Amino acid sequence: MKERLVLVKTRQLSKQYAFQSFFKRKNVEAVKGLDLEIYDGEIFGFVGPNGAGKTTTLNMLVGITEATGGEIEMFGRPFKAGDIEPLRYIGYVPETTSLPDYFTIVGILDFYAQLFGIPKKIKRERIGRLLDMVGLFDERYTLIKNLSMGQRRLVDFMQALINDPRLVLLDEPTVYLDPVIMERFRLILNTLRKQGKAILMSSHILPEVEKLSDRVAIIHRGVLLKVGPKKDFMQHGSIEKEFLKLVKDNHS
Amino acid sequence: MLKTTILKKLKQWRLVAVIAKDVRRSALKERMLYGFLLLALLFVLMANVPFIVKDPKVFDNQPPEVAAVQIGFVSINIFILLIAIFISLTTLQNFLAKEKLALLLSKPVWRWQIIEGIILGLYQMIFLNWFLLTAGVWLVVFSHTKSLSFYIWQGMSVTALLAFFYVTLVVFFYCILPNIMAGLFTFFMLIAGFGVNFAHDMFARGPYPFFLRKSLILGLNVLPKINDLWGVSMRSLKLFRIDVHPTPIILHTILLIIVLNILTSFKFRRFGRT
Repeated sequence: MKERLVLVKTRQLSKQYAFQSFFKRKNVEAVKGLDLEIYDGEIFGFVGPNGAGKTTTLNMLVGITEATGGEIEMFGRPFKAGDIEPLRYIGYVPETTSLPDYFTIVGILDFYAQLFGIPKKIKRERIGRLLDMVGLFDERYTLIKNLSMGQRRLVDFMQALINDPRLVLLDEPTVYLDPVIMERFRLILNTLRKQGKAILMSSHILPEVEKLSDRVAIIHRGVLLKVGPKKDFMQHGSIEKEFLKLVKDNHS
Repeated sequence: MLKTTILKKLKQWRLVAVIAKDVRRSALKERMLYGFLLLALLFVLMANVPFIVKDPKVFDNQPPEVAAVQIGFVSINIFILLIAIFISLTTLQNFLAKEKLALLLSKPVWRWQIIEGIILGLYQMIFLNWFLLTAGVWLVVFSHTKSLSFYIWQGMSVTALLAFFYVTLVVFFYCILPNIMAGLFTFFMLIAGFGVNFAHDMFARGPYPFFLRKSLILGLNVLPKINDLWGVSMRSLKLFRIDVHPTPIILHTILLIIVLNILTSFKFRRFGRT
């Protein structure tokens, strides 16, 4: 069997936020001692209730948020906020769509491609391929502000793939998607997996995670409750049941 | 070796230019800008009045050309200040919103490239506005006098420098306090800049201990010299015979802009980082 490459590894990764009110300072631990490993060619479902620490973890993996403890290893090298070199191989879709609405789809993709320093010829070819892949080729000169929320989410997704990344981080990617776009989205993720890319998908829409993921991790209140192959989560019939049981046990 | 280093640096600044283009685009989409610009152009068009009104007493016996330039000078200086502060603030609020910044930070771009891109984009926006307004004044004068009047561009270029300074101040304060207060601080700084000469004389003559006096004067030297800059501009525009030496004042402002840019880049390293 082919040995799989660890693309991301976290050791005791922690994040503590400090809230300063007028009288006192309060520390909140958003992520506590997270140990994760993400391999190439897999879809890793990262699930947890709202406020569990999913977005914070993703932000730490992309260097937007600084970890207060632990270590991150990205593509075999230590990584911390401020390192820009590993970002050349990462695609990131944030939780909320925040694309500038004065761009056309081609314009925004061109802008992000320039940030990666992609040569013109490759850029043109890649933008065409991405537009075909998500089915927005006919709308390529439409302004972002005239797109539906689902289509904007697809553009979010395209900008994350413009650099042909090895690792794709998706934060709640399925929130605005209707069933038709959802189906296309599943196909795209499966194609990316076949290409050997690692996909970390954070979500609380569990049926989607169940359909797509190879391995799953459940996080609650910043603590990793369980991590493993999908079959380990199916003992009670579905990931959702396992998730609810684990969260309830953790509460008590 | 040197060639490689230069190429590498140029490549880094190419990214700054890419971000600047986006920022300029975003700034030029602000509807408020067109409101300001329309009003400013209406005021600039008032420079026609001295040529139309034949009674020289109305404009203190000044030649119509001088009165026209004076109207243009006042209009441009007021509106450039308003555009620089308000449009810079709204553009910064859009561009440095949490989500948009997160997307930019997830790309292989240094933080200094982001902030310098923003500043450069705002400079481009303000330069375009300055150019339009100055061209308006120049066209009015040219249409009546049929002389090329290059001194108008020379004199108004000081306003462009001032506009860059206003933008730099807004961005600097926004990196410290990311809200509307950045605009207020800029206004305070400019008001302080008007009083520099007066305060300078006061501290130089007053009965202050040597160390305190030196420190106060040193502090004052850091402030922008708006009065002096306007003096330089007015002298070039042939409005008044003001005794100022333009070079040190202009160099002082350019130096202030550079220092503020460096401080802003430094401050931006922690911006939005939780």
